[in-house]
Amino acid sequence: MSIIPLPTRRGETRGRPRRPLAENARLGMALFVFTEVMLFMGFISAFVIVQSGATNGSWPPPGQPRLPIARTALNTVALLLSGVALYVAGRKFRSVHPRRAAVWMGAACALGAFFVVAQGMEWVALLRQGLTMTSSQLGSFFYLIVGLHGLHAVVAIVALGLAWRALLRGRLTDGWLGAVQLFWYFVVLIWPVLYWKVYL
Amino acid sequence: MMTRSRWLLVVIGALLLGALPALAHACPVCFSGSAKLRAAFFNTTVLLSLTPLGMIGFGLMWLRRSGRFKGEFQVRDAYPPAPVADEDEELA
Repeated sequence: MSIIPLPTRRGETRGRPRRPLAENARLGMALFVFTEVMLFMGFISAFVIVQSGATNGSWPPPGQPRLPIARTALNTVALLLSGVALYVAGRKFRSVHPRRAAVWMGAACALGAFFVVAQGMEWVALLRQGLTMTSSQLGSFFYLIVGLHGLHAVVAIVALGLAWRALLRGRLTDGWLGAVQLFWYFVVLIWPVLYWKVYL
Repeated sequence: MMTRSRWLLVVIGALLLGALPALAHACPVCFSGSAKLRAAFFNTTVLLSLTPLGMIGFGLMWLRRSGRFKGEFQVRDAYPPAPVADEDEELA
């Protein structure tokens, strides 16, 4: 009588690879973005509490310049468009002709750079009008939150530029682009929340 | 050994202790302010509690929608199963 060996659980898994659920680059970036979102949520919460604790008529602090809502709205549109451009770049990269993503990645980079430069000009104008880190609680929170976001945007643009260069040299991998996309989407999507809470 | 009535007393006592901070308004930051400030504390607490849960849920939903759970064992199953005899030897 022949005995048919039944596979056991240990026998099934031993020595055989399992496909990872997500690439290392993407997973690492997702964990980083997770912590960054919580950092920004903490700052926004602190800002909201300070703002709510202000007595009637003392917010925004008297004698301090008003934040430029309309001009920043234009910057916001540019940043959102850069997110769309990077999304299209990702689609193109994963299609038959990955090099066609270069134009869209370039557009995303340019729009992101426009946002950072325009924000920088806005901060210079506000500093000249007297809104500094120490002039009021609004100034402290403004430069802390918006400045931190600007720093993230600069780092993301550098990462995007490096990915763009790798694409042009034919060395860009799906995991690398996925990680850069994830970071850029974080920078893009957290901004409307900051704009709503800090500016409006 | 504690009787049922004593257990009941302990539970009621614990519940009363739990209600004390609300009566005392012990936190000078949270309770000395206006209704607007209290609402801000409540809303930010909700925000900071739900954001991580939402992100974890979003991540799991993304994995599920992208079909990554389905293909998880495809590579593994392409290999032939290891001989059962090895396990028997190990057990012996």
